This record gives sequence, C-alpha cells and structure tokens, in this order.
Amino acid sequence: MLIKSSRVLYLLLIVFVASIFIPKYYWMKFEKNIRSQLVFFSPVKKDFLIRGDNTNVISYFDKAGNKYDRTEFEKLMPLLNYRQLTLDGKLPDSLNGVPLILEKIRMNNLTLKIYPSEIDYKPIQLFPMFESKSGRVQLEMPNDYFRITKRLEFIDCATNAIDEKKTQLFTNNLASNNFSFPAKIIAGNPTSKKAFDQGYFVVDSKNNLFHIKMVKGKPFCVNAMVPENLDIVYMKIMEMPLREFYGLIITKRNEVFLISYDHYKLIKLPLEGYNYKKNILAFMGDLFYRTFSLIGTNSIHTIVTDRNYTIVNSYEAIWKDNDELTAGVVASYIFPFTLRLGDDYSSLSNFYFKISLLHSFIGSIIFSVLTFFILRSRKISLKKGWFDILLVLITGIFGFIAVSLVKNVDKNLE
Amino acid sequence: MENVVEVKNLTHYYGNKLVFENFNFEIKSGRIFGLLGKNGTGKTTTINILNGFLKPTNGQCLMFGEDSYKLSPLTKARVGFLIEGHIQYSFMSIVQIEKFYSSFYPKWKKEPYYELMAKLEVTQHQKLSKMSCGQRSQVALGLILAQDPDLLILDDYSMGLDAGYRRLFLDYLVEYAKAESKTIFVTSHIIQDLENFLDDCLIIDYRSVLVSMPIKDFQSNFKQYKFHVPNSHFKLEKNNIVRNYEILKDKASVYSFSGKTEMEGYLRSLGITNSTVEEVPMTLEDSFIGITGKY
Amino acid sequence: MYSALIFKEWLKIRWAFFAMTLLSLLAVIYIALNMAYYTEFMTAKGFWGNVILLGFPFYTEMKYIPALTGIIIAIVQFAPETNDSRLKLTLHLPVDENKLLLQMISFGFVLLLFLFALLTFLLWFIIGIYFPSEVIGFVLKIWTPWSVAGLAAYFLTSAIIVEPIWVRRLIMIPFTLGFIDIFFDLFNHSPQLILFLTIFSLLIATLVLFSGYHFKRGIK
Repeated sequence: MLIKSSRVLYLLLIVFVASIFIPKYYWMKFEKNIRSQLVFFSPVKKDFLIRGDNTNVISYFDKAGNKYDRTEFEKLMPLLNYRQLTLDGKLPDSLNGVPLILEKIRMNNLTLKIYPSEIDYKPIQLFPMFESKSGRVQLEMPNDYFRITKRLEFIDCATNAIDEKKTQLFTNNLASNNFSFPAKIIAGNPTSKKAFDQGYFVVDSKNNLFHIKMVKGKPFCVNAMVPENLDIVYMKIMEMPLREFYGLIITKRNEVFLISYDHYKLIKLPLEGYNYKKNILAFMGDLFYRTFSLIGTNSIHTIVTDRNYTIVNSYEAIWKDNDELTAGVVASYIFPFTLRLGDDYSSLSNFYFKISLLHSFIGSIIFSVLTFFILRSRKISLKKGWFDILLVLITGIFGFIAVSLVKNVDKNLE
Repeated sequence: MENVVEVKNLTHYYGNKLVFENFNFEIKSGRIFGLLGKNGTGKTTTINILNGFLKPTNGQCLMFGEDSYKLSPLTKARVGFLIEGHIQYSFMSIVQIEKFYSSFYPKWKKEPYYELMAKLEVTQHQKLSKMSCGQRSQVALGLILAQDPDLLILDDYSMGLDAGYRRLFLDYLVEYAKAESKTIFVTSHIIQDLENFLDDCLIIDYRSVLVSMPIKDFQSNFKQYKFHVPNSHFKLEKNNIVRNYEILKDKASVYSFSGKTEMEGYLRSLGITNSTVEEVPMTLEDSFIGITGKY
Repeated sequence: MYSALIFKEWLKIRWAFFAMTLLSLLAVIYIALNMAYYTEFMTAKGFWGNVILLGFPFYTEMKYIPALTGIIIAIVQFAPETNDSRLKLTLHLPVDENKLLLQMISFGFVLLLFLFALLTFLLWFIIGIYFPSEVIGFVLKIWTPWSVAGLAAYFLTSAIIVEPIWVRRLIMIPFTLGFIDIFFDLFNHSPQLILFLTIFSLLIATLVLFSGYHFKRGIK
C-alpha cells in the first residue's frame, strides 16, 4: 500500500511538472507576438486613427480603411505630436478655434496605463511622507517612512525607531478627522521625481476615503466624503500640472472614477464593459478629448469623451489571439490542460489553469487505450491498473508520459 | 530435523538470460551447508533471493518458514548475513559499529566481537575504511558472531582473503557451529578450505545442479579412474556412469559415482580391454574440479 | 533502535551538515555586512528607498542555499548506502524496511528543518536591525519557497540515489529539476500555492520508498 501510494505520488509529480513545462516549451516555439491595436482620436478629422499590428512598418488607417503614413498621422494628431510638428515648423496656430500654445498643449496632454497586474499587487506598506510645501524647487525624500496600523506611525530610517512626536501629531490629527484605523488602501506616488506632491489617498477601515499629506510639517487630512459602498479596489494618484483631478479610482464593480480637485467630487467615467482583472486601461487626454481604451488579449474598445466626460465616439475591434491561431487550436487538442504559476494579468503566483478537456478528449481516449496495452504488456490487470487508466483519461498526454515512464508495482510485492 | 531454508522450483532470469531453472534444495537445522560452483553460476543470485534482495522470476524461497521476500523483523534477527566482499559501514569505527548493531539484536554478545578485534592490529576508533581487507573481514565476522544468529549466510567469505585470514575465519565458524542448532550456509569458490568443514554440499553448474549430498558421501563415493585408450580420437559420452572425463593423448580420466567393478564392466562394453583401470585418490578440490570440469 | 539508526545517519551527515550550516551562516553574515555597507554608502534613507520602493534584493545570496544543502545532505546520507549495495545491510536490520527508510529520511528532514528555521530566525533578526517588520515579512515571504525547495531537493535527490537502476534515475532527474525550478520562479505567491507546494514536497518524502522497493525488487 505504502509503495503503491509512493508510486502514485511519483506519477502526480510527473504530471504536475509536465503540465507546466511541456506547454511552456511548446509555446516558446510556437507563440506569435500579437500586438494590440493602438487607437487614437484625431481632433482634426474628428475620427479614429488606428495603428495596426504590423510592427515592422509604422502605418495608420481609419475606420473607412484609408491609409496614412507617419507624416500624415502627425498632422492629424497635432496635439500628440506637437514637438515633432514644432520642430518641422508645421504646428498650426489654432485648432477648432482654440489657439495652440505649447505650454497649454503640454499641460493638457495626459497618458496613463493601468495594468491588471498592478491592481492586485500589494507593495510593502511603508511610504515616504513628502513635505508638500517645502519651498524648494525639487521634492526631497524624507528621512522616515510611515505606516497606518493602529496609528499613523513614522519610522526613522537611520534608527529604525518610531518617531513618537510626529506619530502622535499625525495620529491625533487623523483621529480628530474621524479616521478609523487601520488603513485598507494607501495610494500615492512614493517618488521625489514628480512635479509636486499631493500626498496620499487612504481608505480607512470603514471605507472612508481620506486625503492625507504633510504641509509645512503639519498634517493635512480631509475626508473626501465618498459613498461608503464604493468598494474601492485600486487607486492611482497622478500629480499633474493640469490640476483637474487627483487621480483615478477603480471599484469592485469595475467602475472607474476620477477624483476631481473640486471638493473631491467623483466623476464617473463611461467605461461600459471594463473588467479590471482582464483589461488594460489606457488613458490619453489632450486639449479637446479624453480617449479611454479597454484592451484585452484579442480586443480593443476605445471610448472618446469630451472634457466633460460625455461620450463623443467609440471604436471596437477584435482579432485572433494565440489560442485561436493554429498553434493554439493544436495545443487545445494535445493538452487537456496547461498549468502556469504566473499570469500576464496578475502579479500573483498562483494556479492558472487553462482547461480544454473537451477538445483533448479524443487524444485522452487514445492515450488511455495505449495505456491499456502498456499495462497488458506489463501483465497488470484492469483491476490493478484502473488508476493509471483513469489518470491518463483525465490528464491525457501528461498522465501517459508518467505511466509509460514509471512501471507498476509488482502484484506480489506490494 | 527442521528445515531452516527451503528452496522450491526456483527459476531466475536476468532479462532473457536464464540463471537457473527449477532449482530445489533445503538446509537442515544444525548443518553446515556449502553452495559451491564456479564464478557466474548463480551463487550470489541465490543468496540475494534468499535474503529478499531479489524477487525470483519463479519459485519460492522459505527461511524459517517465511517467504524470503517478506521476512519479518523477528526472522531477520535470526539470520546473520555476510555480504560478498565483507561490506560493512565503512564510515564507522570498531566501537561505533558494535554500538550500532547491538541495539538491534536482543541476543547481542559483544565479547566474541571484541575478542576478535583484540587480535587485529587496529585501534578501537579506527574507521573501517582505513583498514585492510583482511581486517575488515574480521570486523564483519565479529559482528555476525556477536549477533548470535541461528542461521549464518556467508556469501563468498574467502573473497580477497589470504590463507591466514581464511583459516582464522573458519576456526571461528567451527567454534560457532558447535553450539546447538546453529546452521551455516556458505558459498565459496576456494574449495580446499572446506574439506573438513562442510556437512552438506550442493554443487551447481550453469543452469543445473550437479551434486546435492552430504560432503562425506560425495568424497567417498565420487571417484576418478585412469586408463589408456587406443588413440586420442577416442570418444567417451557423459551419462549416469561417466559424470565427466578428460582425454589427453592416450590417457583418459573418468569421474564417476560408480564402483571400480562397475566401471571396468562399462569400459569393457566400450571395447577398452587392454588397459588396467586405476582408481586415483582425490582431495575435495580435485573432486570439485572433476565434477564441474576445468572450464 | 531508533537512536542507533539516527547515530548512523548522523555519522554520515554531520560534516556536510556542519559545512552547509557554516556556509549558510557566512551568507547571513555577508548579508548583514552588506546591509551595514549599504546603510553607510547609500545612507539609511537611500537604502530604505531602494529596498521598500524598488525591491532591491539585498538577500539574494540565500536563494540557492537550501536547495544546495538538501542535495548535499541527500548525497552524503544515501550515497554511502548505495555504494557497494550497503543498503542491503541496512535493510537486513530487523526492522520493517519501509519504516527504516522513512526514519532515515525523516532524520535528514528534521536536520534541514532545524537549519532552515535557524536561518529564518537569523534573517528575521538581522533584517530587523535595519528595517521595520513589513520588510522582514516581505523578505521572509520570498525566502519561504526557497527553503521549501531545499526540502523537495533533499527528498527527490534521496529517491534518485536510492534508485538502483540508472535509466530510472535519469528519468527522475528532469522532473526533479523542473519541480525545484518552480520554487525559484515564484513572485508574490498566493498562500494556497505555497501551501500546496509545501504539502506536495512533504508527501514526496515517500518517493524514497518506491526507489527502495526497486532496490529490493532486484539488484545485480
């Protein structure tokens, strides 16, 4: 019995390792690099321009299929390409009746990409609290880091000890603002390489959203008064010269909000169909429009709004991903499942199964029949070998490799 | 008398190569039993099967009535096993190895072990790996004697030992065998030492058993006869009377279990009439070579 | 009886165990010295920024130590047994053979566990000198699969060495390497994944029984 169980474990080990590595090597050989389309909205044409997935030649087309080369594209997207156009002396003086001033273009140009894998990543929960009004041109990294547990504690880097005075000061301030310790989410940009500092947005234990920063050594803490049932899963803070919004909130229900400078009022973005676990959210902004692209493995959905976030136009496209190409179809027939411990859409190492039992069923049956003959040649009766056959039926090629490599236990010697 | 070892219809193949087929023998309690044969005839294979380190292709081995493949710890404690080449835990010292084994065997007697060790030119804390082959054989022997087993299995005890150590080894075994109902099973290819030691012998050749009987019967009944043959092309045939023969020019030697009169009669029937048949005395080794042949 | 067996295992393992303990301690000391060095030359806040914000792996020397230790302990423990078929002596001892093999492997396991626990404590201690508990937790989370890899490497190497037939050994090697490799590829692993891998690794300890069975099934 013990020997038999030991053999079963050995089979399972082989199946486990094979179901990770064999598909991995298979895809290393056959995977095609499929790039997502890039979708732009031209403020000149008031229509979409799409950069295809042909990566060798940079070319653009519109919905009607007209092709554009790079120079034409740059002209149609003067705000995105203002630096090149300025260099070429081709930047128009005005667009849509608005004079084009370099400083203004630069300030209104926004880009941001949020990947699914950054949403479920929890970094080390220690953050530097910048002095947001230091009077200096450049931000400086502070000498301490803070955490928000039962208090807002500052830990000095040099001594690794808690700065009680500063901790008291901030903790008391937060408490007086009805902050409920500890924090659930702390979001900010812990880098000194940014234009200015807006501190952190913090979700407390009762789901209230607070804006916390340090101003001239003093705590600044404001309750943003967001609805309690918002269920924030992720916040991205953007310290941009265009002081229109502090950043972006993603909720459990796949809603996306901007936190506006106007009393932290939330602006809901019209991003129907967004799934933060599956889509990259690409955000571009300019003087006239906001372009949001929801990018999946084989699709893109682009929504263009005006600066009041009213939908102006939208674009959708799908293409074949690796699973649908020949290699993917073949794989689904060969492998009943593949196991990966990492995923492009998550920062987490976990079990990521891709199951195609139905497609691979014929293969599994063939492998099971082969197993039956192998067992017969080993003089193992069905009664003793049923587990092997069942294993192959479920795990297909992986189980077959295991069973054919590992002989059975002699029936007299168990 | 109780059978300590019973081998029934034992057949074994290594892959497709037959080692032996329908091999049968038994060892009675209190006897010293020798399994003799040339190299490669399956002596070590038999011992491996007997100790449960090889599953035979067919047949059965019983030790103390238990299937040798599933020996219980109690039975294993009754069997002392000397591995070919006197293999022991070479990373242990004389004292360590005695201490190690003593805890496994309830009947452990350390005196015979240390008595034997005292004769060796080694220190108590010398590791086995730093000893000579002969010294290691004495350690292995001492350990088995200290175990006080009912059955001793010695796989080629003489391997790599010079005459002195072989003699010493046998002297101790004789002493040990004097105790009541101690059984010894020994294989060897050096036959001369065993002459006054064995009770029973089993001589095997490739795939077959040549002799299975008490050694005294073998020595007294197995005979060599010399005579002259007409020419060197003369042919003899192996059968019940002629177990083996050699012809060199016109001189012939025949090995047989038959008496002189019977042999003379047989040779006459073959037409050999003009030669005297002479019986030649043999040592055990001569007999062994006589029956197994020189090749 | 058990203590005698442990005594035998200890005789085989001890020098390798001391050597690997020493090597691990040197690695820990090296990391501690490096931390002092970084604090001095990057300044404390620079070092913190690198570690907390950029994930600077100042502990990377520890990565392969458990796996290496596991492999070496398995070799020094089981190679003397299979060399000249000494395992025959061990399996001839009047004890149930499977129990015997499990006792042997559990002793090596306990030694490894002891060493890895010691290293975990030392890491916790030296990192705690310079960093708050969040960083200790972060590093220990990364360290966990590395040490489980050590256990898996020990169990699988033991099974490979006890296996008497070379072809079967060769079959086991790639799957062993593949399994161990998994532990070094993990990032921000989920609790269920590391739990599964740990339990699976512990169960794999019984693979030595299958090899031992082959040893008993037939040796030439």
